Amino acid sequence: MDQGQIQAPGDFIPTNIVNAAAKVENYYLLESSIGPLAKEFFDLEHVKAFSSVGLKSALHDSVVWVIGYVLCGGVVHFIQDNYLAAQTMMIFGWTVNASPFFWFTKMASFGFLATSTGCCVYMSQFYIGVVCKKAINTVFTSRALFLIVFSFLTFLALGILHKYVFNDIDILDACRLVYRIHPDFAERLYRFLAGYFRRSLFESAIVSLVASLLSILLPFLTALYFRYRKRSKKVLGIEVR
Amino acid sequence: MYEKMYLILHAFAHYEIYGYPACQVIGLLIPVPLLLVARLTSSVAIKLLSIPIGLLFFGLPAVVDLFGDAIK
Repeated sequence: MDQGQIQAPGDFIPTNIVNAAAKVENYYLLESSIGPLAKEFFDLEHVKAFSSVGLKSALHDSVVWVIGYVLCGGVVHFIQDNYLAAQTMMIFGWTVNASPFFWFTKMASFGFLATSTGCCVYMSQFYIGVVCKKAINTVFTSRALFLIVFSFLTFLALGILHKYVFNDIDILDACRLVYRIHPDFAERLYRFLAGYFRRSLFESAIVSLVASLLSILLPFLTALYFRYRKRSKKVLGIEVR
Repeated sequence: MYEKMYLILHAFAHYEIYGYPACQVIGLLIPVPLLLVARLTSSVAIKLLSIPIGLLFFGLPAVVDLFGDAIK
């Protein structure tokens, strides 16, 4: 915000998804105490700020997911396969063929995406009133559009790696080069690249699309749910539209 | 499971209506309603992303084919 701009008490411009959720909550309280605000209250500065929150959230979530799921997952799998003794774990009585370290890394990579989706779900319960709706629509729409674009770009990048970098011939050539220096490591590397990593690129590409679609749909569905649940009654004195 | 999802995506990307690839037709047409929605909602994000989303649909068949040998 500019230095000279006049700011109402409590009127801060959100910089991340948690700030945006708090801001929507403020609008909700304001509208429930003084009645519906004019839609012009949510001016271009707010539209810009809430859109950039959606963009930042989608960018952080996608980048952290790719680093965690694809890169760290690959490194952990290599360590597990070659150096760890425990390669199975029990979850509620089921035996899973991977170490706890591997599953923790894979699950942790969804942390940012799950947190921002949780914030959006939290926000969606305030989908009442003119300004609240406008703010929520801005965040959800910008986040959804950027998540679609980033998941598609991830799919594209993983597809290029799968077809042109980690194809069977190139993996074999690379491992043949390493074999001259360290035969034992070359064998391990080949088993990792051909046996796990190439397949994991395909699986990660599919997971990126599915996870993005779920994290886009969930907030919209909860907003719809809260809207229809509160449609027939007054909420904190506001006639619900 | 991954194969099934990939096959659904592949079928969507290569679906044809009267011999025209549906995905590419959507890719050409979708910026128009998106720009209209951006105009109505005064959303800068939708306006900025209308062309990339059109390109996304247009390029989907080629991108999906990158994983063609993963299900053989």
